[in-house]
Amino acid sequence: MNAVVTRTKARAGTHAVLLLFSAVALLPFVSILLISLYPHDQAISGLALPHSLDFGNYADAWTTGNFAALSKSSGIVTACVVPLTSLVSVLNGYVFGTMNFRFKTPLFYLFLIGLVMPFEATIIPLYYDLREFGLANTYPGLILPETALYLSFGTLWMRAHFLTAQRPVIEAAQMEGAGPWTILWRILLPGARPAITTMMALFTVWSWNEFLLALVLAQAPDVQTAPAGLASFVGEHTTDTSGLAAAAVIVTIPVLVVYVLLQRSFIQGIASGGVKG
Amino acid sequence: MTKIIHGGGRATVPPATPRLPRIRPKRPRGPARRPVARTGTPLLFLAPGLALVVAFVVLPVLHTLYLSFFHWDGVTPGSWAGLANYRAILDDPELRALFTHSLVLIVFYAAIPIAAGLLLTSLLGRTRVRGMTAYRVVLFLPQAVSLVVVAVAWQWMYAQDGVVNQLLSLAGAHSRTAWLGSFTWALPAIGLIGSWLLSGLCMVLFLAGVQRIDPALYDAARVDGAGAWQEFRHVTLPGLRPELAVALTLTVVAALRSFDVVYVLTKGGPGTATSVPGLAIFQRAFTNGQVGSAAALAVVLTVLIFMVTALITRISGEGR
Amino acid sequence: MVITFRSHILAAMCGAALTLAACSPGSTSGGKAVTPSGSTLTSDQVAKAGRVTLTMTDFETAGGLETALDQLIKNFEARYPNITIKRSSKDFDGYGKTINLAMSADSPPDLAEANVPMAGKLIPSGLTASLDRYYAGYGWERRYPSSVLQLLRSDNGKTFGTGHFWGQAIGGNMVGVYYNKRALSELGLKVPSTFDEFQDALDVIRRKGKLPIQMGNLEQYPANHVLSTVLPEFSDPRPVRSWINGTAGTTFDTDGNKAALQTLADWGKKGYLPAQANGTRDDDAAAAFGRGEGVFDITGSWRSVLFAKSLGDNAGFFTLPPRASGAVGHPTGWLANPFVISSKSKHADIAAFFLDYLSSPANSTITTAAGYLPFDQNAPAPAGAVNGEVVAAWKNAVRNDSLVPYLDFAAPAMGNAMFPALQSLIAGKLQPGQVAKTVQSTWADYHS
Repeated sequence: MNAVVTRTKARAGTHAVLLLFSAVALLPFVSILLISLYPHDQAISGLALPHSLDFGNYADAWTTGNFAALSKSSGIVTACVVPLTSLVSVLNGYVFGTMNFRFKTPLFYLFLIGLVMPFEATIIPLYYDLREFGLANTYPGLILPETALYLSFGTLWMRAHFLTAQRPVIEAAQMEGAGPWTILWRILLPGARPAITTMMALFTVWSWNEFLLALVLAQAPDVQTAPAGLASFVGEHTTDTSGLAAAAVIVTIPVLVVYVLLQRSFIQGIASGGVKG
Repeated sequence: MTKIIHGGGRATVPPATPRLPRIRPKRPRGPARRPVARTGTPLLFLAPGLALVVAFVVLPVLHTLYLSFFHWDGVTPGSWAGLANYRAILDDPELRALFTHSLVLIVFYAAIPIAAGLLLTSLLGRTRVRGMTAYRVVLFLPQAVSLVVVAVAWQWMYAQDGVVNQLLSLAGAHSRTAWLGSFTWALPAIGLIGSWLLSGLCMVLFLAGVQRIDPALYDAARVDGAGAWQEFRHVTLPGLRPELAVALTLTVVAALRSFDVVYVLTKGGPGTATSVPGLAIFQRAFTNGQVGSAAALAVVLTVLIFMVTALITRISGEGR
Repeated sequence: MVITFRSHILAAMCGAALTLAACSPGSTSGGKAVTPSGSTLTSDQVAKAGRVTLTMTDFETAGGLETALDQLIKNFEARYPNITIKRSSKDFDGYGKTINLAMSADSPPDLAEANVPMAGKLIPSGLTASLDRYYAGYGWERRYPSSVLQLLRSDNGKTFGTGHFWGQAIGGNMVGVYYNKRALSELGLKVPSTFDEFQDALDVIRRKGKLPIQMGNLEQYPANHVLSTVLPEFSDPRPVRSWINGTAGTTFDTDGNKAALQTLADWGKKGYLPAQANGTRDDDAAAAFGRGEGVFDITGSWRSVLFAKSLGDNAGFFTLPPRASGAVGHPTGWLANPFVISSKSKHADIAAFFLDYLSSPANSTITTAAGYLPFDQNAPAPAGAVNGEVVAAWKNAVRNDSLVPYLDFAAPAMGNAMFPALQSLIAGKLQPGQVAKTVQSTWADYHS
């Protein structure tokens, strides 16, 4: 009897905590959603219902922010950055997590630079450098630097994962004559699914929302990405708040969809294969 | 009572793993089998990443280092400054205050989110909770949204008649403070945004890690009569060591590098109450026409962050 | 294939050396400046110029100026079908961060909007064309009063007042005192005719429990507008203008300026400004003023359309009166953002013709209605009582040549140094002397 009551209380407690956190997480977005429905001249004051529902804000925001073109650009950039960075991160993590070789530590730190360095000052020389090679204001000119920067986290993350890889598994595979390439893709990859899909979700989010890099490296209208559309609602002296809120919702939806789809693979239960208890 | 097994989910491997043994080529099976190369394989695998990082990170960084020795406005030819930019940084009391602000932010950006992430993971990670997917999506939402949007939303929330004050009124503490204009509260206010932002990230990282922990360990713990807290302390926490190290690194670096939120919300104000080094770098590089000084500050900040990161890696005992 | 690590390092270092050698700071890549012929064109010549595409970039992303530009472009293209104008705009913030990168590209836009700090980056690198011949040919020099013209002349982007003309603008904007007519009369007050009367009014309003001056200073620049409005009450504007121009030997650290700063600090202390001003958005404060919170609001002409809508006939505008009754006041104001012509433009003459078209008196109805304050004394005022008052005050200031430009034009870093200091000033965290010193040292760092 006691056990059941405790379990129910525990479950209720769990839900209470989760609901609290969820409310906190959602609060600003409820605010944004409400504001995106305000008529243009209603001033914002706390969490208040709009005087009238102005769904037209969304249509207006879509055209004013030129989101059709921006989404296409963002889509192209993100669709290239995520697979490329994920692949290279897995390779890097595999090497740093399972192998030993000379210069391993300095090379690892080399990859960490992108994480450690505040990039605000470096963007200007990067822009001039890219321009030398004709890459400024092109998709590769944004994709490649983003990849290089996100690689820092990817390497760190996958290395942390591969460090926990089972030695016996690897050695058994080696005794079968498997080379490192096979070991990675056939043996270790299935267990790395949660780590990899987590990483891919993060890369998607970061790339889609990348603002500063895109601002400087992709200034021309034909390569501008989605966050630039958000900025266009902020004028010199005034902000179109309801338009900005509607635009914010528009920009967030694609990324949410990807996350919902990906997060199913975060959860895997027991890893398949390998020597586990 | 049998000993509760410590260690990170390795049921068959001794906990303290010494240095990973070199990959030694096994006896070849057939005449054509080649041994695994010694340094070749790692470098081959690393080649694409290295190419990218050298071209798009290392070279620009070296370029920045080079620029830090000049006075340059970004437009006209620069003039040699030697160590002048660095000396100015070390002499400037205001700049030193910026780093103090970053330290304050570490509490909000790192300590709170990691604690929250751990809590959420322990609730969501293993047991079947109804509505799990929904919770996970909602809790990740702050990370998924553009920082510009986040900042603007919070700006509205911190206004005098914004949501925060509305909630305080509900709780009985009536307040007419516009939080972002308070010399005392603006920095914590920004810090809280960081907590809100990064808790979801930590949760996601820990959730991925918790998948790897062997359920047998939890079963063993339960058999030994461990309650939820003990399970957490002796199985989950040690099992999450790698992810904890990553999360700690990410969040502390985020605190030290913080720029976006401050830039959109307060521009470092009121006065210099929320100024952080990242903002100073940005303003110098992009507005003030002091690119050399910005570069020097970036270098100093990088060195600082690097030391902190190395410290974290050392403490967490990674790769030992 | 074994790649030794050492060769990696060597390759990297060689690459680095090459890159560094090629990119010593300041060697902006891009072609040589193309000197435009600088000839003024007639309507016929433009019509017969063949197919030409002009590219134009600006930071008008919201509001009346944005729609006005689109309208004017359409009209121009209708009149001259052989000319196409491609316009792209970016938000003010992002624009300022990237304009010199955009203008130094191989094919930059022909026309670019640029305020003084932006011009300060473009002029010294030779990215803008000299507009002297156009000024002479189209008679632009006659259009602007000298207080405005000074900042349009520079050879090096640092010192203004002498040198070639770098930009041309459609109209202007200014800062003044909006007031709530009903609130004022309910308190038994009338529009002050001297500065002392104004300060007395502030006191009366405060004692009666109302908010004297509405302000939202979260974005940091509104306090600067209040300061520059008050400054001429204590300081001769001519040295101030020289100081803004970057003239050697001028200083901001004067007793007069410190007295003005002290006044601003006093207003904060006495509660003439909202207690939470530093945490309130400028837009929110404007909305609050529109709801009747606050008797005065010292802000710019760009708000007049909003106030005309929210307060209707209740909104009024005046420029801060001087000390002595009947003397000339010195409101803050300048151009609503000039355009520059790229030095690499292949169609500079047509671009200049287009600029002349934009700012011609024939278009003043459209531009004035959009919010550009007109230099043409005969331009009609837009509808709405307060708009008329703003335009009248502007025309007066132009006629008297009494405008004082914005203080943050004095140096690129001035905004980032001065605006936060003013936040501290009104909160009582900094003294006027400290603020003046900070401002002057920022100026000196740049101009020395």
